[in-house]
Amino acid sequence: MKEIGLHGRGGQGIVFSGEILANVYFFEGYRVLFMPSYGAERRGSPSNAYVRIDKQKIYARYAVSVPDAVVVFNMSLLSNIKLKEDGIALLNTTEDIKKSSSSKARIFVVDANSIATKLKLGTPAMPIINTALLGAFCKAMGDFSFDNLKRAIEEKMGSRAGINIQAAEMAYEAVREL
Amino acid sequence: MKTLVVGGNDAIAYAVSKSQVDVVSAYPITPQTSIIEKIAGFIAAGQMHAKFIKVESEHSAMAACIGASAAGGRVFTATSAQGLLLMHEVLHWAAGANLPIVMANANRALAPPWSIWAEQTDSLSQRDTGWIQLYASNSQEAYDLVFLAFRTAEESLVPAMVCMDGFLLTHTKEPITMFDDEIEPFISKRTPRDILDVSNPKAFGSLAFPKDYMPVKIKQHKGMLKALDIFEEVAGQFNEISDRSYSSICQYGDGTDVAIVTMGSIAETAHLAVDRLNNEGIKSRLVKITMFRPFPKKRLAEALKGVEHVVVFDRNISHGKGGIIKDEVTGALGLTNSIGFVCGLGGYDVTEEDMIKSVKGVLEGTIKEDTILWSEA
Repeated sequence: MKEIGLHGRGGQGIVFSGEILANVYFFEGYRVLFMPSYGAERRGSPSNAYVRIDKQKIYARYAVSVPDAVVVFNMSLLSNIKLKEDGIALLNTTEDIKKSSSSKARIFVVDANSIATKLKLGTPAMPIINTALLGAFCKAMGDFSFDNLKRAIEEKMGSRAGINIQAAEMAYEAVREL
Repeated sequence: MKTLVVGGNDAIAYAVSKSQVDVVSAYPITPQTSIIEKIAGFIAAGQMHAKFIKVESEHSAMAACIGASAAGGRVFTATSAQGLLLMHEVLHWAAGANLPIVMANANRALAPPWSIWAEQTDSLSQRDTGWIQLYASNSQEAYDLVFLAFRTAEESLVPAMVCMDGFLLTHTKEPITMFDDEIEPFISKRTPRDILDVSNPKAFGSLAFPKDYMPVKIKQHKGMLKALDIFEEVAGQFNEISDRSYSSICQYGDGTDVAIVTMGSIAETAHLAVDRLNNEGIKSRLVKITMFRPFPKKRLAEALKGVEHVVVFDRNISHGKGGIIKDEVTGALGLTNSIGFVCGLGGYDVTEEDMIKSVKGVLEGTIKEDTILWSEA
């Protein structure tokens, strides 16, 4: 079983991107369990969602504590995010960050805000970056096809799918591993 | 049939949309709201030919359901926690009038303090209202139990609630296999019953003196006991079209050292505990309660036959006594080998690790009495 954490702030489409990701892995032939964490959600407050995937039926019905992979929508949340030692992290950042030499984790970075702003997804103050990050995550994980991501976005977004797929494609090309 | 990744609430709404329901009346409350939102959407889009009665409270929602059901309609509502408590008085009226109303309840902890997360104390405190109570442990079960609830309720003339843990089921999305038209022959079967009829006037709810009251209540009790076999019979018919089998009591594994007994989403996690205990040489089984009322005493006794220790996990609490399921199981079977753990109140996580530690404590003799699982205590 793999556990994936999506971490951002209310309004960034965390829950929606988790749902898309669950569908992508379902198309890939996995059993999936998508668990958004609910509380006093509001715009700007921390928002988390988790996806469990497995080839077998998933029985665990409790919160994910230490995921195998994380997508960090907002770097201000980094200190509260847990990840397995040899996990995969995708960070949305413009900063020139360095990976510690002792880290066994694989770290990927992408500037999803610039991509969203360029495509006029959302506003410059609140760019909508979830689909771009999913595109980058596709490259980072390497265990689901871009075609299935495209299919899930098309099924969930209808007429708005085109520009979101474009964002995902741009981030897929732009993401780099540290 | 098709399989889609949807949430438990969506699953309930889809099942209701295929259930040929005439009237829906409900009032929103987290974490149930998206059930009735989706149903309202189906009705507005003409995909469901039912009347949605908007009301100002859950008490009125159930009152509207009672009226519609007494007039002969197939009726659905959904609620949760405080909303269910507000319905309490009218729940007795629905059951006493033999009205086969079906309700979904999102199990949520009771205030104070406010909580929106999973706990079964809300529906278990409606234990004595005369409603059939079914508990889903995953959202496929929640979907399927809606169909079983309608048929069981109508054949036994007892209202039925389908309970599902808040968020852990209601808002968690997973692949659910849903019917297209295959369910139609099963769900279109309706049992004729006495209804309000202006050309043949009858009175409902009149005064009964003691000599009349007792026989009515005896009849109600016996009628409800019949729902035990009706449920199994209906589940058999359902199995033929769905290939999914249901029973009031479900067993996983057949080890005799210990039986884990529980209800709702904890029963999913319990599979992992049973597997690990078996791997470690502790012969285990899971006994999952799907039907809590009427209480399936005989089937439970069969599932616990020859078991050395019975360990019950309760996501609920009867203050001043303890876990409600533990109490019911122990009392019904006269057990002297049962120990209960109250756990997961207000949505607090319960993991297989918690269950394994508890079971080992019982087997090793370090835990000798009912316990509240609380890591920070």
